[in-house]
Amino acid sequence: MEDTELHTISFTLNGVTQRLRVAARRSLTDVLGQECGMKSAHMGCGQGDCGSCTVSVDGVPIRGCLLFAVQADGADIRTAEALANPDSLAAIRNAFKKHRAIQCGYCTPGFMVLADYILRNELSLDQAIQTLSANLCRCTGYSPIVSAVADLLAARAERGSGP
Amino acid sequence: MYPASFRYHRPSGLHHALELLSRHKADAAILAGGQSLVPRMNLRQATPENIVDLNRIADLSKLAVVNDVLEIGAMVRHQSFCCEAAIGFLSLPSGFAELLGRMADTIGNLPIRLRGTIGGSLANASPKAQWALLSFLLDADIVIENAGGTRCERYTQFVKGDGRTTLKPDDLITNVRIKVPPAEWRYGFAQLAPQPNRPASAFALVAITLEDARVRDCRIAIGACTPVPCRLHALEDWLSGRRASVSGSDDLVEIAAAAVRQQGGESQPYIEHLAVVATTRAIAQAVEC
Ligand SMILES: Cc1cc2nc3c(=O)[nH]c(=O)nc-3n(C[C@H](O)[C@H](O)[C@H](O)COP(=O)(O)OP(=O)(O)OC[C@H]3O[C@@H](n4cnc5c(N)ncnc54)[C@H](O)[C@@H]3O)c2cc1C
Ligand code: FES
Ligand code: FES
Repeated sequence: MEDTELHTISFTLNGVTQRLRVAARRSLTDVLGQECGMKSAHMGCGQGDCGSCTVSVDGVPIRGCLLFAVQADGADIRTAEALANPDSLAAIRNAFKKHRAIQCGYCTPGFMVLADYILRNELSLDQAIQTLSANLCRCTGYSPIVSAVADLLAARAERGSGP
Repeated sequence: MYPASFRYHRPSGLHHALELLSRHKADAAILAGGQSLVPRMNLRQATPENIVDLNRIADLSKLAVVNDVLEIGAMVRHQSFCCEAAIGFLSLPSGFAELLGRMADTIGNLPIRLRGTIGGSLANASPKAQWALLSFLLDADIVIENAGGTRCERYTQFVKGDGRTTLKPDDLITNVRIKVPPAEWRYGFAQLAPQPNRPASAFALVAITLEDARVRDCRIAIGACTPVPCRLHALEDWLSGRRASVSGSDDLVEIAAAAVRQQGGESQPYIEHLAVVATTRAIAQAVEC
C-alpha cells in the first residue's frame, strides 16, 4: 500500500508550533529528525529497548520510535535541543561534560531527556538511577551518567528549588 | 525501520471504534500503548492495513470500585498503578494497592510504563506479562465489546496459549474486573530476570491469609517460565494449614519444585530452578510482610 493518505498535524516543538503533513506510518523520531531538523532525534533499535529516541511528550519521557507522529497531534514535545528551559539545558549539558558522560554521543539526547524529567520531578537518587536504567549506553559504562545526574540533584538540593 | 503503510483511524468514542473494527475486521489492529504492537510493526511482523487508535477515547481510562469490584479501563497505563495520585482515591486495601504498584514497577522501564496499558498487556497475552500473572491469581474477568454486544470472560479461560486468546478481530477489551481482595490478604511477588528491567525469566505471585501463625488460605501462581501463567494447586494444598514458619524450609522447596515440574512448561532445568526460587521467595515475603 502506498502512502496516499497524508495527515495534517500540529504540535508544539520546544515551544514553537509546527504544522506538518505526514504519512501515518512515520514515527515521531523520524518526523522530528527529517522534517523538523532536530539533530537529537536518534533512532536506534526501533523496538523500545535502547532509549536513544527518548523525547518528552506532554512532560513525560516516551519512546519516539513507538509513537507515530500522527498520534502526537496537539502534544507538547521537547527534545534535547531545548528541554524544560535554557537554564536546565545548560546545567545538564555542563554536568554531562564535567563528568564525561558523553563518548560517541548517540545515547546522549535520550539521557538528557531522562535527566530533565528527573530534575523536574525532584526524584531521589535511587529513583533517578532506576529511571536512567531505561536507556542503554554502549560507551560510558553508565557511572559517569549517574554521577552527572547525582551532581545535578545535589546542586538542586543545595539551591532549594531551582529552575 | 518503516512499518508497512496503513490507514490511521482515531475514533473519539467507543461506538465509533467498534464500528471501525466491525467494518475492517481482520484488516484492522487496535493500537493501545503501542509498546508491543509497534515493535512488531517496525519489524513488519505485523502489517495491519488499518490502525484503530484508542488513545483519544477518554472513557477507556477510567478506574473505579463498584460493589467491591475494581474496574480498570483498558487504556489505564501501567505507570498509573505506581502513582498514589492516580489510584489513591480508590481506597484499596493498602497491601493490595502496594502490590499493584510493585508489580507495575517491574514492567519494562519508565517510558514503556507511561504508554503501555493493562488492556494491551492482557490482549497481548505474553507469558511474561505481570498483569496476566495477577489476573490468573485473582481470577480477573475481562469485558469485551464488539458491534454486536458485550461479554465478560474469565481471564484464565480467555488465554489459550502464548499470545493466543479468544479475541475476534472485531473485539475490543473495554475493562478488567478484579474482585477487591479482603484487607487481611498478604502478598508476595518475586521476579527473576537477566537484568532488573528486562522481561522476567520466571516470576511468582502469592496471596495468603494467616491465622495463629498458620497459613489459612493461599493462592500461588507462576509465570514467564510457562506458556501461560498457572496456579500451583498442589503447593497451595500442601501449604494450607501449615505453620507459617515452614516458609524457608527444605520441605517447601521440594514440594515447590515438584509443583513447578508438574507444569512442565519450560524444559530447561535452570528456568525451573528460577521458578522455584521465585515461588519460595514470594511465599517468604507474604509470610513476613
Ligand atoms: C523494552 C520493553 C520492555 C517490556 N517489558 C515488559 C515487561 O517486563 N512486562 C510486561 O508485561 N510487558 C513488557 N513490555 C510490554 C508492555 O507492557 C506493553 O505495554 C504491553 O504488552 C502491551 O500494551 P500496549 O498498551 O502497549 O498494547 P499495544 O502494543 O498497543 O497492543 C498490543 C496488542 O494488543 C491489542 N490490543 C491492545 N489494546 C486492546 C484492547 N483494548 N482490546 C483488544 N485488543 C487490544 C493490539 O491490537 C495488539 O495486538 C515491554 C515492552 C518493551 C518495548
Ligand atoms: S530506538 Fe526507540 S528505544 Fe531504541
Ligand atoms: S556515549 Fe556512546 S552510546 Fe552512550
